[in-house]
Amino acid sequence: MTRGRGKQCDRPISGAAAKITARMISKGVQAWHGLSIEPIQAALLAEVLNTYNETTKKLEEIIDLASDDRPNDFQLSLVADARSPGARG
Amino acid sequence: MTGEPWRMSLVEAADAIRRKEISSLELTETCLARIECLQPTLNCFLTVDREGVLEAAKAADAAVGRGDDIGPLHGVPLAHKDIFHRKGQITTCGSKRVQQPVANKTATVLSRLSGAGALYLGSLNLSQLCYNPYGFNNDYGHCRNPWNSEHISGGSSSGSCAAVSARLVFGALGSDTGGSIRLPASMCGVVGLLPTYARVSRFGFVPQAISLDNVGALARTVRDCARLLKVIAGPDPNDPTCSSEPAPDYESTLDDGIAGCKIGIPSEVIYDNVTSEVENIMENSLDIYRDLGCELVDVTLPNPSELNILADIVELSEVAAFHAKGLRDNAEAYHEIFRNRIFLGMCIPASKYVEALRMRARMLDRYIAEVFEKVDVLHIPVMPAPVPTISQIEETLSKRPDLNLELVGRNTQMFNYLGLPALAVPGGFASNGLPIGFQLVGRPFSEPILLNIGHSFQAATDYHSLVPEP
Repeated sequence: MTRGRGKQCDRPISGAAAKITARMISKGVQAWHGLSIEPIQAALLAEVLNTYNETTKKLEEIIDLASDDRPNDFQLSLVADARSPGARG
Repeated sequence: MTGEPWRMSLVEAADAIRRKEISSLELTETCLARIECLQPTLNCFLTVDREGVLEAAKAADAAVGRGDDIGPLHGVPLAHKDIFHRKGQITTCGSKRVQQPVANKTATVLSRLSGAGALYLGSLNLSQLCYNPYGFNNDYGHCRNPWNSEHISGGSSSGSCAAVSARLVFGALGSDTGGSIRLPASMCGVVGLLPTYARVSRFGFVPQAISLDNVGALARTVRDCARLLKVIAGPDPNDPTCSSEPAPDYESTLDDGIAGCKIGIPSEVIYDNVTSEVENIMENSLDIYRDLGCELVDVTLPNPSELNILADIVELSEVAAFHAKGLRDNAEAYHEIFRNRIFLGMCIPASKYVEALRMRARMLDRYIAEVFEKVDVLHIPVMPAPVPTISQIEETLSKRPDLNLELVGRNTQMFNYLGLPALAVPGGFASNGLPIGFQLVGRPFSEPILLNIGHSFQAATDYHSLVPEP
């Protein structure tokens, strides 16, 4: 079984992790949203979710959100970055 | 005026009306004739308002005759992706079975186009609920590529791109949450502009993922896109999320020289999966920029895969929240690709969604520091390979229904997450006869620079003036 996220993520994932995630998906979606997912479908989604999980964990190591006390206003960042050093015109 | 007025660009058409060289009625009739001829093959339109647009064209001509003060798009017929509300009409969002209510408002962008004198020709096909990059729609039928109807048109703004490419209409609006303007623009050989996040009002627009959604323009030339953007961009009191930055006159800087501009070429990752055919077209376009006096600079990009995953987390969470009830009530109305994506969104913890949103400003800062403090724009392929056929995509999806953007590349979605503007420009043709585009990406609010650099390419080439024969 390989992950479905292209060249950067084509390592096989652990069978146990995928099974746990698939079970979690089926139960969670049923409990929270009242929808049932086929086991095969849940297994496919589990692969993708595991990739997301590993990527965000890695990024948490790089991006120190705990010390980021700026207001969470992305649009202010866009305006600030439009005018930061190197901008042309 | 004699000849074939449908061959004109949007700006040429608007200027010809202003100079009384052609009437709006003549232009509109030429569009309607082409729609009648090509719609059965291309399936671009969901509705054509024949009587309404002919009446509007006559009124536009009367205003010219009276010497009224007319707008920059006066008398020019346009049509739009069917996700923009028109008061009293149903906005289908490309779905017959997921019912939408009758709209009680008109989208700001449509009001602004109308205020500038544009005519409304009809609503355009799209991927069902905007949710696949191929132009597939099981309810209304797939939109077809004008260069070869066996090939996908791309999506989700499929009808917008195919109709502009086939000269059924002079310009169109689309929307882009992960590539929905740039992918079909590249596949159909038209210019597609994704503006800076929230540069354009989204009032009266059916959202997909509101943190990533953008409204943008599709047209035959960069100059056409510049004119459309000037009309639709700018603050909107009805949309508090719309940027308060004033919109400049994007046409006024199009002819500025670009000698000395620094164009960034990603040296890795982006090109890992690119076919040699696409790579050759990218190199040819860069040769043209080199001849125009630009400096080509190798740049190392922050990991695109990580950015795409953060974009996925935001997009899937928001789409799932928007459609969860609809899926519960009427699951069969949703295409399998869409259902899988919604299920995925339902499984993402809320804490991860919030984290992905909080990381956005940090990632943008990093991107600016690592890329745009070195270059003015980035030049990258929109797609890694030539346009596939419909049957190729259908066959792959039958085995891997969880795949979505992966089949046409991952070079577009990261810029929605970063909120950066990107301009897709036709860059040449593959051996299968279908167009290949490149995208120019810039800092926030750098649309004047992107348009200037894109226009310079079109001034030196003629890809945009070639007409498909479906």
